Amino acid sequence: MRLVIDAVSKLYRGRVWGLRDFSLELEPGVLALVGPNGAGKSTLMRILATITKPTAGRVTWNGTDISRSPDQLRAVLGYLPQDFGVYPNLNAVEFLQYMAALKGLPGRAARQRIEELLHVVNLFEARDRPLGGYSGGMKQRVGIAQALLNDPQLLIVDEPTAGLDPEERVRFRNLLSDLAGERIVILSTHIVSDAEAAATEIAVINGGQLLEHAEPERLLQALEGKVWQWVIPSTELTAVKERYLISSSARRSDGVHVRVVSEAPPAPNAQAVAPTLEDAYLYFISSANGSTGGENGP
Amino acid sequence: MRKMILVLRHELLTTIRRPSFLLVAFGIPLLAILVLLGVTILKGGSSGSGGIAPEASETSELEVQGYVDQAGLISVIPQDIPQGYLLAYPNEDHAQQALQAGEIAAYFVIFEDYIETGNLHYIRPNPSPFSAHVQDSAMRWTLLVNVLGGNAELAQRVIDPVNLQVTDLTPEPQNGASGDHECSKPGMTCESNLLIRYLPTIMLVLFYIFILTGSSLLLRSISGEKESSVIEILMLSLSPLQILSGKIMGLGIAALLQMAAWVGTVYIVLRTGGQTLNLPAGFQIPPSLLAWGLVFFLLGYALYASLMAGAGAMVPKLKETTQATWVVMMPIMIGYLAGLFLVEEPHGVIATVLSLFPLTSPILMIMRLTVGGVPLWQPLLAAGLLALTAIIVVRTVARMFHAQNLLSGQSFSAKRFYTALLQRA
Repeated sequence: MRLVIDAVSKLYRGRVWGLRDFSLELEPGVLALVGPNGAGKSTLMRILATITKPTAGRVTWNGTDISRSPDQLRAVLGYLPQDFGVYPNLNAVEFLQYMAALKGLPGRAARQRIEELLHVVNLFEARDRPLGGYSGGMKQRVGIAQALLNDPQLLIVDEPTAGLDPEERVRFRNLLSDLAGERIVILSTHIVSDAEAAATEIAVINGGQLLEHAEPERLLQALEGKVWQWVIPSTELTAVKERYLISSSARRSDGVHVRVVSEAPPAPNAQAVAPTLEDAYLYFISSANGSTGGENGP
Repeated sequence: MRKMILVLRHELLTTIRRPSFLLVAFGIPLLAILVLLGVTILKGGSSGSGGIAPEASETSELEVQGYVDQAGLISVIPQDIPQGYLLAYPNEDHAQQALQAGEIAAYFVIFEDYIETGNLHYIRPNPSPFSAHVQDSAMRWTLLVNVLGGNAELAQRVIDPVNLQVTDLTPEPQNGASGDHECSKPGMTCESNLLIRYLPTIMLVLFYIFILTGSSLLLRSISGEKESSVIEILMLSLSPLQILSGKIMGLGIAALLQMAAWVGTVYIVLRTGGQTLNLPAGFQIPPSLLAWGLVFFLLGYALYASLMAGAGAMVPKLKETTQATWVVMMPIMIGYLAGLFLVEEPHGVIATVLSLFPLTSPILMIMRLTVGGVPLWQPLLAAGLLALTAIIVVRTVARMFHAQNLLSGQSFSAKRFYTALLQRA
């Protein structure tokens, strides 16, 4: 089971690059594709899902070019697009039956699989209610259920937690973690905590280009000794913002607790702290943008 | 093919289960039938003032009436008036007593100078607003027969002096619903009945609504799936042509159901409500008109639904569908507005040309066929041209139905739509 993205580019009308010379090799595990809005995540997802074709480069699934022979991948593909909606008048069972029929699942096997998946996504009790009455999180769970109907080897979920409340987000992240096994899961998100919770690998993308691809531990190791925290008077906050890449700040009774990413200590009393993936994400995105947040930035 | 049928089935079932569809397709016709039923009940099923012998079907609904013959004219009650429907009273006092006792619904007073003046007096208790007309056909027929010495055959000839047979040397026209045989009914002309007079306009409006609502279903379906990203999932299992054809056929059947319900209602109303609506006896919509209606609806739907599908592929959000509807439906809207004026001159040059032009023929040819007198070659040519255009448009739109358009978030514009359409043609 091997997915290879080889120098893939996508050029849109108006000569806008959606992806540029993007390469990646994937084996079973959960890859979190993180990047800001407009970074090219959905473009890559649609190419991997065989919905669109790259302008240049190629993607192979177990050695087969998916643009030329998409059916081989489609048979083992589960896909949950961004902003996924549903047919409001159908209930979960009817919707999943329709999707299963389109995927070519035989009737009896489909019914068994649907019942099993409704338990997995915790919607069995609500299965007869019209989907129009479902919450955003419930709809996303129906979406993941349809993606899992054919027990896919490659599962692609595009921004699945966008618009969900914190409780639903946690529930959905846990569900994705549970699903990771002997399959490749690609999770696209601009919320780093989603990646932190579920990913075995992280790829940072911006401007259609791959900035970094590594295991979370290695990304964190790259930032060892570059994340600092100290307390400043609130009057100095603006000046610090101009000079450093601020990861977070919190006002407390003793002043503003500032956390920055910087090659050198930003102040004599600044303490080096353990980096998080949020710090790493900011570090790589800022590096690519050339705006490091200050003279001591990367 | 199997997957296309799955799409068809899904579209049909989800559409016909929608409350809004049920309301429009079946609720409105049901309401129309209920209104007709209500009016019929309130009117007491009485006949109009045709001045002819009551039909057998009407006699069962005749009210028992009395008369006071001061002229001494009535010596015989015609045989086709059921016994006991017209009761003679020697004077008004007796008739008044019978009326108050409920033995008769009303009574006539035939004045002494009736032969010179034709004066008759009709007395009835508290008429309702819905039964303000006088049920006088039995009395009129009785008077006529008696004035002619009791000769009912002669009276019938006086009412209908001509048994006209027409030989038309031009090719046989398509009979319209208000054809000559309807207008020649005794005591009734086409102009005398508003419903028949406006039937061509009613058909124009109905077919405009059928095609507009049917093809709008397709636009909403595609733009809804596009907005909800379901289209992306469908594209993994289905080809664009499978999606397009499945939707066109599924929603076409739904639209056909709506049309059947509406046309069926019109049919039922005309068949059963003839008396209430004051229609000539024996009036009916010719089967040939129904057949042509089906042909022009299906072809018109295929044409406009395909155009709507093309627009739907380019509309990023459901709320932008209104603009797309206007852009796509503009030709048939123009045809519809023109038809409202052209109904007075249905066989003029403009009406004929527009009824042959494929973008307007689905409604204007039906209007002309309802009027009647359209040579057979014209609906045949119009249907042929429409079918050819529909095939070209379906194929063109299928080529527009690809990921670049379906995934685009660009706003809809008429220029972009027509450019894409012409590029793919």
